[in-house]
This record gives sequence, structure tokens and C-alpha cells, in this order.
Amino acid sequence: MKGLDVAIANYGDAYGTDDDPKHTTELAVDAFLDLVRKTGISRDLIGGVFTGRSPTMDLRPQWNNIISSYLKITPAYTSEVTSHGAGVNATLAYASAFVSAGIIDYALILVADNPGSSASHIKKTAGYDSDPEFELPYGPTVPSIYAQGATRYMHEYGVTEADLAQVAVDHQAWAVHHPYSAKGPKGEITIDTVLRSRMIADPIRLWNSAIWGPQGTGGALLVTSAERAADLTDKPVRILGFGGMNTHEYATDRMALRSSPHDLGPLPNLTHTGARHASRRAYEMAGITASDVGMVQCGNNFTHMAMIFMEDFGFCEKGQAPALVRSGRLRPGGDLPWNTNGGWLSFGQPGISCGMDPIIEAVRQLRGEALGLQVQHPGIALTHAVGGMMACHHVTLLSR
Amino acid sequence: MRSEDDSRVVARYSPEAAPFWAGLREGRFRHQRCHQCGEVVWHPRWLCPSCLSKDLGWEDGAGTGSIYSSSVLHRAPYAFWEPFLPYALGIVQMTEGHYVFGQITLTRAWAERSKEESISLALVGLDVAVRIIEAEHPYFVFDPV
Repeated sequence: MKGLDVAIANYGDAYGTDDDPKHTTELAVDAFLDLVRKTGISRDLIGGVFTGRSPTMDLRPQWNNIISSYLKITPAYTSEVTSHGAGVNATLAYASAFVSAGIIDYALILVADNPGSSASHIKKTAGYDSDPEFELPYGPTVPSIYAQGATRYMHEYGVTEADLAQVAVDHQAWAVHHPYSAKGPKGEITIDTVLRSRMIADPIRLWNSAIWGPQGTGGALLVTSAERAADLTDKPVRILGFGGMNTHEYATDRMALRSSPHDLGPLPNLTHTGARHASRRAYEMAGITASDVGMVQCGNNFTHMAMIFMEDFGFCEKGQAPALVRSGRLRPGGDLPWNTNGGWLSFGQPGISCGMDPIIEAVRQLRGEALGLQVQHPGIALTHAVGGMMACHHVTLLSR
Repeated sequence: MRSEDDSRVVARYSPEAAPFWAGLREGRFRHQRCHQCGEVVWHPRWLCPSCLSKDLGWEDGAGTGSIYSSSVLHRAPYAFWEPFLPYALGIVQMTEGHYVFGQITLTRAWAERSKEESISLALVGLDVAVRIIEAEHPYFVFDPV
């Protein structure tokens, strides 16, 4: 598929705060109304509604239909797109395919969630992210499963705790400028801050981890043809290409993946992800290479995952991410700005809408409407989300 | 007042794994092997993930292996696990070649050291052996050897 002629006509977003933590449905409503206000789109024209999996704080299946019904939209095609959290990024692929094929004219993408209390999540998320027969009974947490990959990554490539810490420092340098980032109010940090923070699941410390927050986010996107988008806005954001790959469900099962037609590194391993193939497919569709990417909004939930993704996206060779981080290219003022709202590590991971936040941030940056630090001339933005235990990856490339 | 968080989550038993659990009750640590391509199959499956054959058989494993990856938990998923902190979970490469997730027994010295510094990388490569825990719902742990 070449020459996608589709665009994000506009976006709507909504944020809860500590003073006004909004319910998931209200966040969805507010994001939708923001989009309607900006575009004037009539509900009668919306032919497709795509959402991520049901919000963590709602958990009713078929949330796509629940929210469509709530808003009195009657789409011809609608689905939760559920490759775990990565499905939110994949909604752009589904919407683009339907619009590009002329099946529908306008697709609404709508995602919202509220992080709720973290204590309630630790058991719940481990409960549906670990094998119920051979992993869950041994008391894993999500960080302890991701830590298996962190240990291997550090072991195989000589990556140090200080290397990982710099990733957290850089994310925080962006987050302090964003009004809704969960960790921003903590101010800038140093490598020592990270190394002194509490061990959660060795080698992952508190500051190596994403935070459940901020107090809920909602995002809405209107995807249509580039031609129709131009009638709705003077700043459409083109969808240049997309790609995805889902390699496994449970972490142990990834170790049983012994061969693949795609580049997943020497199998089995825990150090190469489907983000390699997902990004390559997106680059091919867009007719670009990794060096053409000017900005990254990446779903890295732990510091080592950010490094693995830097390598898997093709910005450096495997094991070379620590040098890329040290170069400063990813920090404010660098030429490859990485997670300009602070990302999942510092902006936060408010349930399933963590897949939408990087897209909203990319669209805002490309339109020159950043809530935090505005990047000048971002060029092509790579958006990504990971879902499950390193399992599911979707990449979408956006530009003005 | 007791809550469900005070109890260990019990395995959600799948029918294709029943011979494994039956073996565990007899002190055997079993795995499947594909009769067509010879691949060791873990987790228990109705088909060989490599060649798609359903012609699988069960055999006894040595119960030995080495630690492929590990993580020492300092935060528990729910109340039941808090008294066990710190405890280690890892993926063990078994002698037969397959990879099994499970709990790794920390010696007192390892546990003390883990409170001061990261030890997960130091555990990689250590030889371990399966120890079967007899219980209403039997399970297994990996002990350093």
C-alpha cells in the first residue's frame, strides 16, 4: 500500500487534574466535544468509530459501542482495536485503511481512561498480563516481567544502571514543561536521583518505571481524506505510513518463538521487539528511512524499553542506545526530540489512553500547539505504543 | 478481615497441561516433545509450535537448568506475597533446551545483598534444580545447586 491520502483533520483532548480528577466517560465526552468544536463535524457523517480496548477504569467489553451509543453515533464499522495498549496506535491504521479504500469518509478515534489508584492495578494488570497457569501463581508484577528483558538487555550488551538512569533524566527534562505531566511537579532530576530510588523489580527502580497518571486523559481524532481534511482545518496532519507486529502474549511464550520470517534478532530473545518490523513497514509505506524521522513519541514504559526501541526503530545498532542517549539528541534542544510531553515515564500512563497521549502530543507538536516545550520544525513524527509484555507494537508516521 | 488478596492465586489449569500436573504429583518434572520434528514443547500445547504436528508425547525432564533471566521483587503484587519479599522470579533454560518461568530460591546471603544493590544480573547463568512443593495445588521452585 503506497501513497496513503489520509489525514488527521483535527484532535480533541481532555485532562483530569488532582483538583478535578475526571471520570473516564467524562474525559471521552470532553475530548469528543473539543474535536467537534474544532472541526464542526456532524455525527451523521462519522462512518467508523475505533477505540482501544476498554478503559482500565471501566472494563466493560465493547467499550467502542458503549461510547458510540452514549454519543448517539451510529457507525457502520466500529471496533475496539486490542493488541493490548498498542491497539490504540493501530486505530490509525484501521481508520486509514477504511478511509483510503473509500469505505467510509470519516472515522472517529476516541480513547479515554483514568489511572485510578495504583494499588488496585498492580494485581489486576499482572493478572491479565501473565500466563494464568505457569506465571501468575508465582506472584509476578508487570515490572518483574519487563525486568526479565531488562536483565537480558543489560547482560547481553553491557548496559549499566547509570545508562538507564539517563533515560529517566531526559524524560523528566521534557515533563517539567508540560502542565499535565504526572511527574513534572517533581522537577528535574539527576542520574543519582534514579540510582537512589527504591528498587521495584530488580534491576528496575521506581524512576526507571512509568507512573500511573496523570489524573486521566482523553483523546479524539478525526481521520479522513487529505482533501476533506483541508476543508476542516488549515493544519491537517498527514498519516504517512503505519506498521505493526504482535509477537506473543505471555513473556515465557516469547521464549518459545524459535523462528520468524521477520527480523526479531537471534531467536529466542527478550531484547528485540516487534517494533523493528512495525517501524520498517511504516518507513516503507511512507517511502522514508529512520534517518528521516525528526521526532519520536514512543510508548516506553521502562527506561530499558526506550533503549530497545531506539535500536528497533533503526536509530542505532543493537546495544548502542546508551551512546545515542548520551549524545543529547533526544533531550530538549536535540535534533531527535523523544517523548516531548515526558512520555509514559514522566507524563504518565493513565490506563489505556496512554496509547493516545503520544499521538495527541505528536499532532499538537506538528500543528505548533504543544502544551509543553514546542519543538521547532519537527518534520516527520514517529508515534508508537507497546502493549502486553513487550508483545504488541504499532507505529504510525505523521507529518504536516 | 481476610480478603482474596491474602491467598495465593491458584493456577488456571488447562486440559493440555494435565499430564504435567499429574507428573508433578509423582515427583516428575515433565515436558512434551514433538514426535515429528523432535522439538521440546513448553508450555504444554495441543500442537507443536514449530511444525504444527499434534503428535506430541510426554517425557521426564532432568529438572536442571541455568538461569536465563531474573528479577528480584521488592514490591509485591498483593498482600499474600508481602511476607516473602524480596523474592526472585526468573526464566530458566532447562537442560533439554526449553525455557520455564518460576520462582528462584534466594539464599539468605543473596536476599541480604539484594537489599543493597541490584543482583539480577549476577544471578544469570547460575545452575539451578527444580524442587517440587507438595500441596493441595502443587508447584515448583528453582534452587541454586
